[in-house]
Amino acid sequence: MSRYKLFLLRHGEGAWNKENRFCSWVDQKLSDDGVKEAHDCGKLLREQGYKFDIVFTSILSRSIQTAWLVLEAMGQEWVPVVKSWRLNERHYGALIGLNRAEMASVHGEEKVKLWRRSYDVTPPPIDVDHPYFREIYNDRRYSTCDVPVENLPRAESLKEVLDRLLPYWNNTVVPEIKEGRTVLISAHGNSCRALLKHLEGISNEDIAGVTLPTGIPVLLELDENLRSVKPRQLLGDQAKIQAAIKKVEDQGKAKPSV
Amino acid sequence: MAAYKLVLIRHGESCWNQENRFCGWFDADLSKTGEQEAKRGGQALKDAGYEFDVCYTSVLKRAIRTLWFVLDSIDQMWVPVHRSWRLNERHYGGLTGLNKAETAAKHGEAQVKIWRRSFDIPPPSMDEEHDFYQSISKDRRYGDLTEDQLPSCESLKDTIARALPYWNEEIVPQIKEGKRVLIAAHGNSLRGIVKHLEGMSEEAIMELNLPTGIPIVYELDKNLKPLGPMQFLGDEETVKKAMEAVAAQGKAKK
Repeated sequence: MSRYKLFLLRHGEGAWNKENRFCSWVDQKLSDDGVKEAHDCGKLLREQGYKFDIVFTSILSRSIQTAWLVLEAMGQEWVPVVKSWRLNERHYGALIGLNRAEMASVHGEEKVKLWRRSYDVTPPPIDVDHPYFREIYNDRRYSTCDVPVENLPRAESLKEVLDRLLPYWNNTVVPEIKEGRTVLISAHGNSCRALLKHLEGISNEDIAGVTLPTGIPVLLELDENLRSVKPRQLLGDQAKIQAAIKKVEDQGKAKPSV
Repeated sequence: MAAYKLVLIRHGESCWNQENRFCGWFDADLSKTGEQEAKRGGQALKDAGYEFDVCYTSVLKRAIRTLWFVLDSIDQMWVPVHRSWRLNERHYGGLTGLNKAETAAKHGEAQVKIWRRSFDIPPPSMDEEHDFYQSISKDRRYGDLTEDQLPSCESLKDTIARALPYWNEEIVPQIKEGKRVLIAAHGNSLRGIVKHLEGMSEEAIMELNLPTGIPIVYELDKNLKPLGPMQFLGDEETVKKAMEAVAAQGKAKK
């Protein structure tokens, strides 16, 4: 029995998405296309008459920017926005900054496939010598988390993403939903996937095949135990949704250059 | 020695400012000029290297968007933001939506003068017949307010009376914990804070018009008493103009 509605949104294009590089915990803002995606999403939600009571985002600018643009388009700027590292994108460790071609040439196709497709294999950790190490860990936002900065992840499998996301979901998000509040989670490809896995009971094997298109609001209907009771709905114009799905699938297929 | 620093910013031009209409609780958006003002304010904070730990704003988009422009400029979009109706602009009651000419025509010049000169006389209430009653008083964002809390009009005294509890109960404790605070709000709600910080008289606060889109910095001692007058951040020209405008206000004949 559908009791609650929950909205998930994967942010749109950032500068690195265009270059097919793993952005992960590097803090990039949306590209112009990404801004448009967020704006269009907000417009759609407004046209369909949705009203949010609270929005959750990660502490990466692109998810916050997306939330702000959506709220602006809906005229709901006043809605509280709560931010947490626990909704951050998956931490790709040493792979951060590499594009898919580079990764394959440095680590080999098989390894890359394993890291991307498996549920619980962790990529090699980011270390002090990594070009983006300081940019990430010296950033003040990571000294404000509920975990000391030295204990924050240095790399994550999808399973590890869910491990750090779930307490936040249970302790902070669920109480809002149970109060009857309409919640929007504006986050990232993998943090959204991890949450979906939990809500929809997707197996470790099957989750590899699940991808969310960017900029398309996802509506979940949950029962009183906060489990999904029907297939997730991607909202909006079908042609647009199909195009968005294709875009994400094509990125995943990008062939390494020889 | 400053124990604490506090930054205030008053939002810039709204679409209704352009039309010289009493805005109050009507949720007017920033005009293009207002957006530029916010970006400029953000740039000033960026140039001066300001960092914040927590931000406060009202539930009106012109203040919230100003804050967003600022946080974007200084790359601190991740900083927690708290919104409260208590930092809203003064509620102009029945005058909401009227421009200066309409107001004078409807109520007479003498009455308008009284309202402008008074600290504690409110404008007429916004009643159910008012064009904006539904969109303001019945707006979902005010759903949690009690009947006593939801205004139908406010004098400056009323505005300050509902803003200060928020300052005292929510903001002051954060400052005392050493958190660096930014407040993005409106002319009259910020007047409430300034009057309180500086111990200004009712006459004095009514004379003061805070500049828009310019970060206003207070250095405070450990008892939250300002160590000096408010300072403005920005390029030399902007700051000079703002200081002169404020200085001239006290002297202006009305």
